[in-house]
Amino acid sequence: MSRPDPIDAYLDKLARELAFDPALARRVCLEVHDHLREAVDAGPGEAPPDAARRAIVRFGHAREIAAPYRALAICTRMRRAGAIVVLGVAAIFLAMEGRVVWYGLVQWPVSRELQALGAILLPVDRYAFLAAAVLAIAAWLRSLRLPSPADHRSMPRAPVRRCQYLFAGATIAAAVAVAIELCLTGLRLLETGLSSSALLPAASVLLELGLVAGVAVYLRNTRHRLDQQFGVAT
Amino acid sequence: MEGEILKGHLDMIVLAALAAGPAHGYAIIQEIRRRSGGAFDLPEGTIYPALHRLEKAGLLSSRWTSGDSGRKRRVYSLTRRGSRALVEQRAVWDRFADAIRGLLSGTGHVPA
Repeated sequence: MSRPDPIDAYLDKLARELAFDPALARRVCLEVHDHLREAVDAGPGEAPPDAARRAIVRFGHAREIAAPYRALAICTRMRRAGAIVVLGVAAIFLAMEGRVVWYGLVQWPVSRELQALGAILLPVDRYAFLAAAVLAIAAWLRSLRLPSPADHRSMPRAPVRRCQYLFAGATIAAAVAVAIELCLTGLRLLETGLSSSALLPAASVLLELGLVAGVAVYLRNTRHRLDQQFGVAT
Repeated sequence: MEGEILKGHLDMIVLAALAAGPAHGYAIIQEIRRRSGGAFDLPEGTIYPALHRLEKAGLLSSRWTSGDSGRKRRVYSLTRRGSRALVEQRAVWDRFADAIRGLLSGTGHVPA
């Protein structure tokens, strides 16, 4: 049985180290493939496997090459998560405001019972949403200030965790606000019955639910990916 | 030269190597080795994460080409921002080198 080409074996190892980002792994492996083949071609006339092994030694260990990519990927992922949480909360705000404007335009009637319930729930809704907005902005600003070391092994885990807690706090607060909105909107629709003017409130509250769920799923995936990215080092 | 010292200045070294014109990773390493008289001899792979980081920071741009061998090859060039960053880093380095030279020679640093 023939032995595998040293360059191909090295590229397999590098691809495994970069498996946290398949597109990046493909790109880096193509570049490294070109580099190693060129180094072999430029070598001093050794047998190809020896020249390949020498080129690989000069190139460096796959794990060492992957480490800075991993650190950069952690920072990029956290910044993207921060931006998504802020955009999600902003989109929820627009949906809520749009519904309020719609109620005004169509002169939506509200029963006394619902007004009484609103007097209790709406302050909670507002404070929850305010908390979501403040936490989302704080998380995003923190994610922008995360240290970006050249190696993920020297990346402090604590600031990343703090950012994740803020992301989670913002999402939970937004979920509370959306749950109250869902409750109040549902009661309004039940009171007046389904009509064409109910489509917009129903669609907007469903949109809010979708946004909260989408942000929560994205954050869960981010956490999973970050555990992978940090985990390989430990 | 000590690898750790070099790594601290890798971004500037890469930007300087690309000041002459677009190049792919292997050619950049050869250029660094040639211009440093062989003194800068890092593990060759360390250049690629630096290229990636500089590209993400908007200091470099890159595109795929086909080399003479027919292999896919990524060629990097300095962006306008990268050129400006190199000028700034060169000025900082010159001031630092002058100060160290003055310190070590005992004659003191004469500001330009």
